[in-house]
Amino acid sequence: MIRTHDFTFASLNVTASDIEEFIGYQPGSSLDAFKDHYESALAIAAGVCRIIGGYRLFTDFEITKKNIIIDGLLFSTGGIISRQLKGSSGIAVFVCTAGHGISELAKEMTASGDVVMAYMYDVIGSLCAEKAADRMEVLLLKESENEGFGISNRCSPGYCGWDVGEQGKLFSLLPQGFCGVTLSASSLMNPIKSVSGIIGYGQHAGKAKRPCKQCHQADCTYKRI
Amino acid sequence: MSDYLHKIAHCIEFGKINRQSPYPPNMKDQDGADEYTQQALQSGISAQHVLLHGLITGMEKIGKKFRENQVFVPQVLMSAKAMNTAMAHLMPYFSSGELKSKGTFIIGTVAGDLHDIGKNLVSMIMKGNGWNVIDLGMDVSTEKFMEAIQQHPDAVVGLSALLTTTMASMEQTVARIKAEKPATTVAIGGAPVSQAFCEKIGADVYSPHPQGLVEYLEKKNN
Repeated sequence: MIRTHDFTFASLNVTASDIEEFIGYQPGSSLDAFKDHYESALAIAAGVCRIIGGYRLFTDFEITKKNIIIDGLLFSTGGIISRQLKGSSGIAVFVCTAGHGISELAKEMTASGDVVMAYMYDVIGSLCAEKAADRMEVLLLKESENEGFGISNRCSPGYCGWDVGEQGKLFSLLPQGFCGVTLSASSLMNPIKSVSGIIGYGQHAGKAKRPCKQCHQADCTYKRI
Repeated sequence: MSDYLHKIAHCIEFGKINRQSPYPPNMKDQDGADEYTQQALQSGISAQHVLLHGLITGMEKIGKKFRENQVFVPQVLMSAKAMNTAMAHLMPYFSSGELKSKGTFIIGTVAGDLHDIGKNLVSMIMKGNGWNVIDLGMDVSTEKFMEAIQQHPDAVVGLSALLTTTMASMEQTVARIKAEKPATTVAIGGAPVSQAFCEKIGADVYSPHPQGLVEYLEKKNN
């Protein structure tokens, strides 16, 4: 079963506080200095983001101690992810994207020398992709709850010891250009502001608390799932 | 040190571009790096002094704060904008030969990688520290790096990667540079990169922060 959802920028409710938190500031601490930047970037981003999320559900899967086999494809996800998905009765393979527009805008700003606004758009693009994935999780949960199911954390290649190089295999489980996202040879998603991964669902599936605490991946970009 | 030089360094440290710039709020309606640089040069302070004790001092201060997590990316970018504005007034002195850069720094994000925020940050901090920066952009092939080195044989090369998958490209580029131009100093950086990886692939320096690279090159040149 395949589902896709369009999300409006407004529905994701990306705020100045989200931006400052993403950058690393304490909530409210940068508003005096960068309020105009945040507000202007949010207003313009609203017109260029094309946010889509979708997933495909699989019931043909197996979870071992360190691997997950979906539709006959073996993924070396590692123990942390295997444990999080244990108890699932199905796996959703998902993709969410903020679209090309926001990255193009960031590129234009960099070229014009406005590196601060370029950075703001870059951050907003990341936030949109992540928030779309949050919303998509809620929709998946709603769908699952009808059958008395819960869902796991979402897990992505590149995190918790799962090699990002397996992204290509993951995308092979989805229709070509699903949600408008394609992969480069180096496993880079295009549009660049996109997220992908898997979520377990089922009667015994649930969210692990603080999964980053279990992970010792020193080279994690965000130290989060 | 001249009051002008203190003011230039202060404006750059705090990202005050010019009088019109509303940032930072506590310096609103005050002159910025733009005006003070012009005033310093008009008052007879040498371009060399403006560069060394104004621009470089300001960028060093913000670079150190960034390393110590006292400031975040937007503040460094504002400083870089202020520095660029001031630098524009020094360009004629570089052209005439009165000012000399510390050297040439070639930078690019390695093949297959399209992330550029970190690379741009390093690029701007290096420029602000008196280096002539040649930014090759993103998704830069080994060939392109080699061509740039051919044109600038004494340059230091900086490679950036954000993906674990593109660390392989970084390794290939470093191997080729070291095989064909062993004297070239190669610096690497990016979220998944580490000191262990730097040693493994034979690069010369890894720093998690731009200021680390600035200080490494400063030591190496002295």
